[in-house]
Amino acid sequence: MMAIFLIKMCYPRDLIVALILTFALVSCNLNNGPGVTQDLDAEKLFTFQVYPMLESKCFACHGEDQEEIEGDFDIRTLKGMLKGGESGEPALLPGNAEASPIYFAASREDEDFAMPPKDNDKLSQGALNDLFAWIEAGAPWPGGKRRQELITAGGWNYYGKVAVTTSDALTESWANRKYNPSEIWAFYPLRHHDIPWESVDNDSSRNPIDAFVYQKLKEYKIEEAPKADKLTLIRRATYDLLGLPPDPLQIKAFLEDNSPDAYIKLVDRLLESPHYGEQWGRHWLDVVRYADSDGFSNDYIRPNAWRYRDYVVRALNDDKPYNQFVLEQIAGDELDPENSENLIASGFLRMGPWEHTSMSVEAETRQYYLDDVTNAVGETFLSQPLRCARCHDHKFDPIPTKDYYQIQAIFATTQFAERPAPYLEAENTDMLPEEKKRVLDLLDKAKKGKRSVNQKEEYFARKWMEGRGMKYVPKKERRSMPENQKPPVYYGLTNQELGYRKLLQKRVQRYSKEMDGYEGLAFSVYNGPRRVLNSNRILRLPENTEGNLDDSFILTGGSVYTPSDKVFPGVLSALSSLQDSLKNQQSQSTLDAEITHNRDLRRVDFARWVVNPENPLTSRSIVNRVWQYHFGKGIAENTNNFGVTGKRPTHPELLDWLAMNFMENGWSLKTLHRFIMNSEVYQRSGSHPNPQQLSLNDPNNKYLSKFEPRRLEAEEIRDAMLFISGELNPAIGGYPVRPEMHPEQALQPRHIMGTIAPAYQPSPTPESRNRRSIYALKLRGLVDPMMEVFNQPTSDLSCERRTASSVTPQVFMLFNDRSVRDRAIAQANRLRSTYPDLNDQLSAAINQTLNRPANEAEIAKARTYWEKMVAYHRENPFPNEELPTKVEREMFEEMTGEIFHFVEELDVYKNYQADLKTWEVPPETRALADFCIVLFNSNEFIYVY
Amino acid sequence: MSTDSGKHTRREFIYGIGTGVGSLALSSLMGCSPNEQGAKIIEKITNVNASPLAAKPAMMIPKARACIFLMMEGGPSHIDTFDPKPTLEQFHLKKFQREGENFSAMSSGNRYIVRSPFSSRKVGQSGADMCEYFQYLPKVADDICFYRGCQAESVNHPTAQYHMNTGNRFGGDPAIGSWVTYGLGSMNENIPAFVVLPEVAYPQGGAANWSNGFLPAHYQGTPLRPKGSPILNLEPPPGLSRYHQRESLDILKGFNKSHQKTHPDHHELAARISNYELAFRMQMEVPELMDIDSESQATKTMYGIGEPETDAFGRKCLMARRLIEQGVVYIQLFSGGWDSHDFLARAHGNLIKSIDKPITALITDLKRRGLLDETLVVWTGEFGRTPDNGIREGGIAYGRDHNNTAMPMWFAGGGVKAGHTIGATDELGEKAVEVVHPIRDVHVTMLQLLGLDDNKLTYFHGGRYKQLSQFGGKVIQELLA
Repeated sequence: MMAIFLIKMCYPRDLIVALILTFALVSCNLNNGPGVTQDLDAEKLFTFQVYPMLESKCFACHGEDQEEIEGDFDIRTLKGMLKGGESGEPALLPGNAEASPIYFAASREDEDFAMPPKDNDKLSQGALNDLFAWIEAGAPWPGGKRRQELITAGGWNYYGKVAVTTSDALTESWANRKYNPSEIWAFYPLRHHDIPWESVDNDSSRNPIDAFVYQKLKEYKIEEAPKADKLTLIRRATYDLLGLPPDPLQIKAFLEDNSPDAYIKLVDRLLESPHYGEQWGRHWLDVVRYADSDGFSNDYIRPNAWRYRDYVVRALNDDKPYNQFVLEQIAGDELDPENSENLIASGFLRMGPWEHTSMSVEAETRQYYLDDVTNAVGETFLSQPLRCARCHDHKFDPIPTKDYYQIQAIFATTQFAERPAPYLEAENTDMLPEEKKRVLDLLDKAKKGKRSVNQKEEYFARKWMEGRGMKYVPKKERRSMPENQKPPVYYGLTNQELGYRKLLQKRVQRYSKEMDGYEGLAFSVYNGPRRVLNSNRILRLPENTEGNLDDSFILTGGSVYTPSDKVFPGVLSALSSLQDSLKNQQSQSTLDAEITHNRDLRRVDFARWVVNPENPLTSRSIVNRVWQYHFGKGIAENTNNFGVTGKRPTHPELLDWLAMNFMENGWSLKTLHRFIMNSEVYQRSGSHPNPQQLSLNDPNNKYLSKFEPRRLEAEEIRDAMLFISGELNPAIGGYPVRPEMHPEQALQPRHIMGTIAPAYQPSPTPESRNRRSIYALKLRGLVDPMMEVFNQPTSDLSCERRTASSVTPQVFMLFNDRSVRDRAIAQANRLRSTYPDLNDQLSAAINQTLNRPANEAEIAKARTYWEKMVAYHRENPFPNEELPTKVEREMFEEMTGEIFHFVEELDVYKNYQADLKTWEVPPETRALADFCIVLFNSNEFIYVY
Repeated sequence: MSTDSGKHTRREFIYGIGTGVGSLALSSLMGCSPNEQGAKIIEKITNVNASPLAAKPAMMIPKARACIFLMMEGGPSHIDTFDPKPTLEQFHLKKFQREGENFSAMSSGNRYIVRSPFSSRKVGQSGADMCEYFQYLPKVADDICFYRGCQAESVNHPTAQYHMNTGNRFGGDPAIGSWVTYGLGSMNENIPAFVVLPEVAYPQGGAANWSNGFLPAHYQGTPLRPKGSPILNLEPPPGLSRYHQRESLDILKGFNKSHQKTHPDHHELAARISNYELAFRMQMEVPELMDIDSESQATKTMYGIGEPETDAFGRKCLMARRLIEQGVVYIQLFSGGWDSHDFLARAHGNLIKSIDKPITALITDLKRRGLLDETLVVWTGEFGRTPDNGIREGGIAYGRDHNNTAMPMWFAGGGVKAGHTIGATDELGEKAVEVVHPIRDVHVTMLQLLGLDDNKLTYFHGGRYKQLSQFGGKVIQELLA
């Protein structure tokens, strides 16, 4: 079918010529000079590049399965190629790539005849070039024996491609694969680069970051934007480091400080704020998928997960060296199980969603966990999503499946437990007694309810048995009795009671688990043999951790049911071999780490390998993440993926320089922030003087000639509004708080295995719920619509970088939601009590929200609007909204297919301190609040420049 | 087709926008020759201002332009609906044991066979098998293609739900509806292209069942709540009128316009400004769409609206038809509670009753309006049920456990082989044995009917091009007309 469509192709002539020339050139250089024929090169090209490509991309459908050969076209032999498929025309015309249907299909000129059919499998430009060159060279097809000879002889280098030695590959052709060094850049050791000071014109900057960035700007002839004004800078830096707006007083002080180091002092001050750890901790939590619940069907609370969240905040505030931070998260429990901090940190290993119920298959749940944690350590610390190598050797990167399972073997002895870890001085435990009292109360009520249904069941059982002249036997003892001597299960219970019974049973389980959150336990791990877990049960450290440990195997196709070779703990094998190849064997790479096979310390060995200064992935990964959060984009754009499919770094020299500098500075993140923020690049204006030119030269602002504006993130929007309204309780850390959520979402019934989850109720006092959003209870199964609509990521997949979409539901949220109105009312109320004069109130509102002085025209407009709104509110009362004290639930009871109703008491609302509400304030305040809402909705508030 | 998840400087809206291309109806493309389609593709590609939700031409000639996906949450039994197993009669309550690490606690231990509490009969000219509790559905039996060959993977509700709804068992991936709207775009700028009509209680696994996953937020399913405001905060708070909103929007516009002047090269600002106007219009239009009282009494009666057993699902089915008329591309309806481990007769009996009349009305109504041919209707659960059951609370329970190797499923409308039963399960209904396909093949088949090629409907994320079927699937040719 491919042969029919030989249209003129647009492969540029000069490229072809260049290609053939390069090809010839490379061949000459690498094959010991003259005497080596081009035939040999073409044979090698085929053996090393083309054949493996055909094998992986084409054979499955065109030959391997003789029963079902697509298009009756067998690609596996030259004969098959020349014969072609159904059309009867040859697929290959040796010497003429352009006219060869196989090349045409592979080039995807025409989508209808593109091969391989999946976009996923399309040939890289490099592979396409190889195919082209091979056909042009006459398409020699050495047989298997000859190919083996060529492989054994080795020495193949084509377009500068290199071989990478790894642990055993699943297939020979994968092992022989060659890589373009620029594609596997991240696996190479860090390289020292001289700082290109010559690119800095003036002496204004002695910051190496500027030198590296200017170098590219010069190279691409891109003009840079001027420096941003001070007002812009303080807003930018404050939101960046704290996730909060600057206070008007701080702005004033900064503007008035004319000393040359005013800005440097500003950055220092911000880095000392405890809110820094909250903002940057939140970024880390996006990557590790932090949540306070398990996810899946029951979505049980993880009552101690918050201690990990606070550990992260604390580590950042204390500027804990990043290598230590990594060690503790991977192996804290192994390093020092007596130290609460360490036990808490290793909660990282359990951050993913996880559930095991009686419906789950044990082997599968365990394997799910192992796959999850293997990928998570790769993605988080090495910027290398390892899951790609689970079923097959990595399609693009030098990571064989064996590496994947060797890393997985490190976690084969890792088991879950809530481990005793006394609360630390630094931890905020203020809320615990109150929360405990509440949950205990709920638990008691549920137990009582359950008992009464059980009693009723027993009443009917007694009647049934006695009615048949039998002696009553209690339920437990009845279990083993024959069917005809006991009442049918649930005998006598109505649909309502059946539903109620299940509901209460589940609540008892839930609340019992939650009771674990007040006992000084850490959401942590230990080493030992596998044990059967059920999500509904409380997990404690078992007394005996001895026993048979799980062996690890390569799982064929990634399936737990098809284990093949046994493997032992190991690391990414490509790193050390690449390093050795550069060192010319003068010294052995320290990256070839031995990982113990013992039960304990596997993770310590591994973590030490991760933070080995010679491991190039780790330091690059973190400096790149930090860069991304400052500039909106990483130097390498896919901060979770440094592999071939991730984007290449725009400034590779700078990235390596930063990584080395970072380690020299003791892995200090604060030093890195300071360094970045004090650069001229960071302080550039968000507007470019010549946008037309820029849109041609650098439309995506890759080279950072201006500062990229950003939309506030979901949590920043809420936190800023609370800050501006004066309601924010700035306390650090502690048990998750429950902010007010749209009541329709909060009371939205949630199905959890066979019944409905308890209603979401906000924390009872303004102080306890108007906390920073990082402390909000994060349930995988119930998202706050205000957060979701502004792109808060779900906690199922690691989020390397948030999106900032602009969608209509955001309008409904920001314009109509009660929470925004409440913030505005509080702000307006405060303004009116602070400033007697309306103009001052309006002016202060603008100043607080937009962080700049108001101008007269704005005030005049605002005044007119305010007057209209006052008139409106005088005419239109704002109705009082009653707080719900109970909620009626209904659901299909699965056992009967009938509707089951029940009324849930909302205990929190019985003793609830509401925020100041619209109906409690006079029309003047309401009108001012309307104006505050307008400001919250304005682009100037929502974007940071 | 692939898009990078880079920054979006163009206009982005969840409900589409009013660019010229945005209103280009797909139906106008359906009769085009491939070349004409190609020309329109180029026209669209060159229009850089096109919204992500602008209608896009199909990748191949579509058989249907929209899909109604009827999701029976909990796992309906094939044995007790459309795949009767009279053999079970003779083994009723026969006991046996099954053990092993590879079985869940639910499928191992002491077990016994359970016969169906329902009798079955042949209906329609095609002689389809249907349990006696379906009183209405036989009328449209000849419009349906029953399928007995599908196999799920997971036996656990949330993972199986995710699998059926997103193609991935572990949640976090885009729902089929998101993929379809990503591929086809929207035909109505003022309402969401992917609408979900959930039960009052959200299904297990929650909103991740209609998540856009890694696709841009525009492709997220919008749940229209069965109670309260259909979209959160669509209505202004009580006490605030449209006048109040207009005044507020006007002063906001003033602020935004003067701010925009100082940031001329910040393109996102324009999108955000026009979002506010669009939202203002939607506040009027969505409630009208939701108001089914404008339908005739006869129509409402036909859907079972007003009768206690059928009212809830009847409303959803009628809403589905209205949404189809409005150009919505993908509508997912949930019916919950099919997890009958016990009291099968009562539970399944009541549930069948609750959907029987409404679904029959939906098919009939679509047909008489000429919409059935261009709408793909799919009925399924996340898995089927076992012919046997486990001991519950120490006793016999007349129900069934989860079965990932056989399940009921049917299709109606655009492009399906109506009036046929495809595939078969074994004698006990334990396992599909003919025309056996995994869920991904069903997904690929659905996409093809909607004019989309799973292998081309890809999105670059996390280092590779991702697709609904995860790694490719096969179209189930037997299901196609």
